[in-house]
Amino acid sequence: MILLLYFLWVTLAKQTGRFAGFTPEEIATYVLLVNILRAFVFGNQTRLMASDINKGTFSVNLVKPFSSVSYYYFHELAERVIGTLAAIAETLVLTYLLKINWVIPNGYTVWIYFTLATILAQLIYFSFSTLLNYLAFWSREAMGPRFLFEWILEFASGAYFPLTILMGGVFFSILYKLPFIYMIYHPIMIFLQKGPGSDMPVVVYGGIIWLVILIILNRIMFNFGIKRYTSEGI
Amino acid sequence: MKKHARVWLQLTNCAFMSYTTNRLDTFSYFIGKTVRFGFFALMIFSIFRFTDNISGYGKYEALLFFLTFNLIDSLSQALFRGVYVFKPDVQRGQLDYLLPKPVNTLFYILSRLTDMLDIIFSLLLIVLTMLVIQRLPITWGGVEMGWYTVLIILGLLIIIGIHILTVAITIRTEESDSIIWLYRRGLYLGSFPPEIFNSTGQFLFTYILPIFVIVAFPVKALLGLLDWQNILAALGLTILWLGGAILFWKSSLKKYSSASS
Repeated sequence: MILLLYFLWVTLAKQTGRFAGFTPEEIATYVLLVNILRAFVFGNQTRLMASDINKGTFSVNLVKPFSSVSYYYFHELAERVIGTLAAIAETLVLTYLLKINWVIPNGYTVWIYFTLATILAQLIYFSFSTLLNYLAFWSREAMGPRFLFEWILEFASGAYFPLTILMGGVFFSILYKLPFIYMIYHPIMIFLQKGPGSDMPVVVYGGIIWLVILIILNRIMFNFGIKRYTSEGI
Repeated sequence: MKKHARVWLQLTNCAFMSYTTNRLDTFSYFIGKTVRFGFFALMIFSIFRFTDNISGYGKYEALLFFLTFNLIDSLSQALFRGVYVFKPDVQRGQLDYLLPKPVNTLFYILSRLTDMLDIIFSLLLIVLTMLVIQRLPITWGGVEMGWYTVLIILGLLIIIGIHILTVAITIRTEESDSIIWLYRRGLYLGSFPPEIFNSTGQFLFTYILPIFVIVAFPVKALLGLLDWQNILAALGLTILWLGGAILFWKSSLKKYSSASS
């Protein structure tokens, strides 16, 4: 997928010199950063909690002397660290083979805000993912909604294209108000210091507000869901 | 042939029952597929707000690449999904129970899980593809449409070859079905014109992993951009992939030890 996105966007940017406000170097940096952020923010093990709730093995975590949410968070984090290292290696190989020039931001402030935005992106994704996993308290069919959620998230977060290309349209104004945009688009826009989303403090404050909202929703949903939990299958 | 059609209908009937039992999952998966398709289509329409071509292809030509990719992907998902549930059969030795059945084992392995959602989705895609073809800025006739159909069939035969290869490798290694994921991810490369890639990429994904033969060749034939040498190359690659995969399957079957049954 990274190859397709790289060649597509760079070809378009080279065709016109600048595509949707991005130079070929900026769009290449966007695609390569997406590859790394996807691994760190999204991960692969996010369906484990729903599966455990459905199978009844979630009970094991309830009797442990730490919160079940932190168990799943660190379980996923371990997998994400490995995935991120692999993605960095893959990106470096592509950078070397395709002779890609990265756009590197000047000044440590950008790096600090980029790091903060990336950590927030990961926490927001995890909170969203947990919310979806809690559906398993009510239904054994939690995987279908997760599949739907993952595709909406992939696109609405900017993982396939810079959302700027939708600018001016109704979709952009809708997506800009949703939290998905904090997961990929905003951190990269901070890194590139361009377009809507490059206002660094606003992005970080916005991300914190969404995270707090999601944590509250998680608590509410868990408190209702756990009352319905039957540990079926144990 | 008739016997296999009956078996397929029965298996499809079972799959349909399963889909109607898990209604929430079924509904969500279908909406998920539609959303994925819709977002990619939105991306293509958005691209054409900034330019009038992608590597020389206009909006409807680019859409035709995208729709043909989706159609071929959906058809293969609909018909050969059985390969995704094959690995446990090898690991648990349950392939033993498939081998003596009075039906071709390979046919049974590949087609035992029909994806009803992809069948419905494929029908929608056929309608959309016909609508886009009618809007192409070229005149095409029965010959071009004939080659388009023939090359899609050749593409599906190559895909069958890749699925057989996956099954054969799973028998040999007892664990690896990753080649099917390599193919699934790789097929996305065909959703846009091959000219966006550099010459190395075009060569690699035409002759080594024939993604462009599967997706781009039918579209180019319809657009009148495919010469007879490339049509012959498509035929040769189909024979090579399908024939090679069947030979490899036969040789792999001899290695099956049923160790864990």
